[in-house]
Amino acid sequence: MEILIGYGGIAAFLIVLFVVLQRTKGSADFSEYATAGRSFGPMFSAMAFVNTWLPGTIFIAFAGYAASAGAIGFYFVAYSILAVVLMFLLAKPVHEWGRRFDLRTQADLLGLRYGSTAVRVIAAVIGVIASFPWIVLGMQSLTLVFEYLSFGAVPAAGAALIGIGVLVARQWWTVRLGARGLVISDFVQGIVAYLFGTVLILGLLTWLLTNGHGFGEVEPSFFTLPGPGSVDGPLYLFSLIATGALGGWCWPDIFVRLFASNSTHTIKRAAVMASPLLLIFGSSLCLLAMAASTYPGVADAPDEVWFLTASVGGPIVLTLAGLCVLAATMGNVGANLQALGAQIANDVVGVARGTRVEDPRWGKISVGVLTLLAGAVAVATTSALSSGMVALAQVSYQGIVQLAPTVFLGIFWRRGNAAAACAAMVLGFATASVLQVIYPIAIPVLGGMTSGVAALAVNFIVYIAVSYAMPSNEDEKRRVDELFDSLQTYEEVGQAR
Amino acid sequence: MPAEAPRQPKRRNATIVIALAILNFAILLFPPLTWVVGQGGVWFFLITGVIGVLSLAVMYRVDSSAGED
Repeated sequence: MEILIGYGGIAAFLIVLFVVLQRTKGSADFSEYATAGRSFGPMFSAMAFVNTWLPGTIFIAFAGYAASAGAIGFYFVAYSILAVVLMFLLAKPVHEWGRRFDLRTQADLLGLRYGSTAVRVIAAVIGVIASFPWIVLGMQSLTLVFEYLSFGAVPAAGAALIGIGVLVARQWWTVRLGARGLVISDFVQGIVAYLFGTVLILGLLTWLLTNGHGFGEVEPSFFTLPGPGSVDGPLYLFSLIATGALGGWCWPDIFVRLFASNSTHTIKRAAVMASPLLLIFGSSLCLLAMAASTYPGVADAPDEVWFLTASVGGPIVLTLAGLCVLAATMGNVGANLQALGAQIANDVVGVARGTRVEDPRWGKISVGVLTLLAGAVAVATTSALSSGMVALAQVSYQGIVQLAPTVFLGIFWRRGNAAAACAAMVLGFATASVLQVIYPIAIPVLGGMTSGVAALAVNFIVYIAVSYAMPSNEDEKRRVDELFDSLQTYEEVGQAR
Repeated sequence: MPAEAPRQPKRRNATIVIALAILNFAILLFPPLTWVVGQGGVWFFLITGVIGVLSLAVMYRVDSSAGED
């Protein structure tokens, strides 16, 4: 009977979502497939950003980190706020250049800014390599959902396969509808995961606080942050926040959300709308996880803190908790697959064929192949799923953050050029990879700095040094100046209107 | 010169936006600040989070009044 409530709840949610998606129109060309025709307003843009930004594992691995380590678990709230601040600053150049030059992907924008196919392809390849593990992890993160909602009827291995199967099947709509379908479904999924999720979190937190699991019972060390003399090192927290904030806009799926908004003003408004949601949802979840650290079973399996806590409310509350994870996971995995598929079609296949991709079928094929590949890898590595999911997520971040100097200095600094971008990305990525193998968590001799941040320092230095040592020729300087000056022109034209 | 007049508040507003963005990065990415909070780790994140949200609201207000976009 209980499994009927659990799996029935999921089925009902999926039916509602699929009905909404069935009513969504498809894309006439590749540009619309990749950017949803740059047509969405602030509400949809804000929720699309949040649903892409916060993966389902926020309820699992990130909450688990707060349940096992305490206040440091809030680091994702801090880097999310900084990412939204960056979103505000990126809004104008990204939207205006995107609209004027019909840019479809992050790599497309970098190719335009640097006037270089090499920059475009390297950025696309790094984006795909770093994002792919995240998709696999996202698919596997539904294991706990289907295990808990079966109420003991389905073992972990079976639950993993069901979760992967559901996510792969759901991508039928991602393949068919592209970015428009994603933004619309993000809105529905976001309401369930983060608005309804926050209400659920606050209810569970109230139960914990009034049933002997107050913050007074929590271990005192949970309230301190790592500093000089700590095990992690004084720069560990700094590294986590810096990697998250700078790396955020290096993810192709996050970046491409900026292209789906209908104006610069919309993106800025979406940033303002997203920030309180991220703060309230994220902080509530971390507080819940910390309070629940004294709840029986949580210390042994911190990644299951969300489900263990929700179990106190019986099958219906547990089902609702599972729906929050499912909704968050679908948003993140779908966005990743669509963005990477579009990037491969636009910036790898298109470049290799020497043509600009216009047919949405290229995007559909690319997203479809990626979905099947990610599903196969997720199935093959299911047994490797463990509480080290945050560590794997951080590994991906170490790689993707190496795009940061190329992205941010390219967008905000005229002097950066293609040679600097290529050298910085390649050296940064190589340095991060080597350091990550030697120091999987942090580098003790650098005060707990992570491999990605250490490599980022090399990356920034190389970018600046090459930009000065090998300046662009006059034609390229003029082209870049016109590109930046065009932003002022838009402003003046907009005001004249 | 007449064209310079509206540029003054615009430049001032742009400076405010950038200053608020830098403030947020400074308070969240300045390690000594997290070292001195002692048992107040949770409060550090809650307060800096509220500062971030309020900063964004001010940035948006200032930006809109400057007629950006």
